[in-house]
Amino acid sequence: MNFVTFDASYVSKLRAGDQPTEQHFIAYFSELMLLKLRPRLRMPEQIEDVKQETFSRALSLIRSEGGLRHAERLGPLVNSICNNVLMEQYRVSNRAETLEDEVAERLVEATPDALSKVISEDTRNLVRNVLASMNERDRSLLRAVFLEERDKDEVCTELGVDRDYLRVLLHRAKGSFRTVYSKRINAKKYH
Amino acid sequence: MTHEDALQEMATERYLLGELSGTSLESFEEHLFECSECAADVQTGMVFIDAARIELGTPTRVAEPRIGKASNWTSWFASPWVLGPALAACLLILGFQTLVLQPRLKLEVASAQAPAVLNPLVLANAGARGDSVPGVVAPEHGSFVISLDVPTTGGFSSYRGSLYTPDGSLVWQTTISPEQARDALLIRMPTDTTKEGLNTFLIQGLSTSGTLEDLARYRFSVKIQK
Repeated sequence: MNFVTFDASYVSKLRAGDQPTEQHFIAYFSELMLLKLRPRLRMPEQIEDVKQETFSRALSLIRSEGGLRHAERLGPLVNSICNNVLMEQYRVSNRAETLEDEVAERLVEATPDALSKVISEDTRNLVRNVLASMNERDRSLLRAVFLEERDKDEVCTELGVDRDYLRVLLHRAKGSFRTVYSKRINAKKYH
Repeated sequence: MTHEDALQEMATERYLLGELSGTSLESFEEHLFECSECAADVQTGMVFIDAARIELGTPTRVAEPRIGKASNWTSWFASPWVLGPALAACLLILGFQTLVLQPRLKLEVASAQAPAVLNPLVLANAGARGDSVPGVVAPEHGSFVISLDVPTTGGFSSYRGSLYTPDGSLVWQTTISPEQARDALLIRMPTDTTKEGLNTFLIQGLSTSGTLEDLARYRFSVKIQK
């Protein structure tokens, strides 16, 4: 992700149709929407449709008279539009679920999708190292939760830990991974 | 939700673990769209989980087999410095057998099996009377026949025939029964057993007490035809 501060200047450039700013806007929120939509929509085409519709509406709103008064609210605006488009998508798909009632468990998707298929061998090596540094119990915990999708409470009881332990374990593993992963990503950007 | 709230509540971890729902989910996602730090954290977390699913579902990688040094003395034989010359020596031996020994053996076997007219070298009484020494021209790697008489007077239990080369060394010996000794003996001599020059065939009588007595000494010359 290429981070930037969403200020009045940024929004003003978007309104003016500045191409580099628009490209950044689309690239940045594409990734965010992908994180949000991946667990909710299985078909990549559906995800793409929601993204396109969200961008179309967001840019129209931004470029309209009095569309966005507070530049710092750009992110929440895109999220809000995305929620609306997603609900419409649900309706089209005859799905009764709404965002509010959605079961959060669905956020953890078991089947590797298109994104996970492009995980590089380099990234896998980093993750393998992080997993190798754990003890067998922690590895079993992650395997049961992420791979076997077992009930978290049941797994935690079985392994003699609580839910906080699971969160901290994920936090530490993610932290270890991120330290090296970010360096690699930044190194690739500058080469 | 503020960034501090998100950190305090470990919202990223809860989001990744699917523990957020309803308003807490909505609130965090709204924060996610305005907080680049949390967005990056979630994105990294998802990459980690995706890769971890693959790794945790992959059977443990077995380390590549490493050929360790053999601890015992037999490892010396596996050394290329030994194996190379040994292989070369084997090839040389094999070549020698195939190209030299086997053709010669085949030739010898063929000549031994082929019918042939042989004129025996008659040694009966030769030398005993001080006559000229008889001689034979023998083919190399072939054979010739000698004919001799065994003096049977004395009532020996058996007789012994011994062949001595020109330098006096014993090269062949055989036992002759009294029955065989009644008539003139025909002995086929392989040329390789003899040596070129003056050879001697000694006949001895073996008494019942085990003592040997010289009975006759036949001398003949051999010339090997190459």
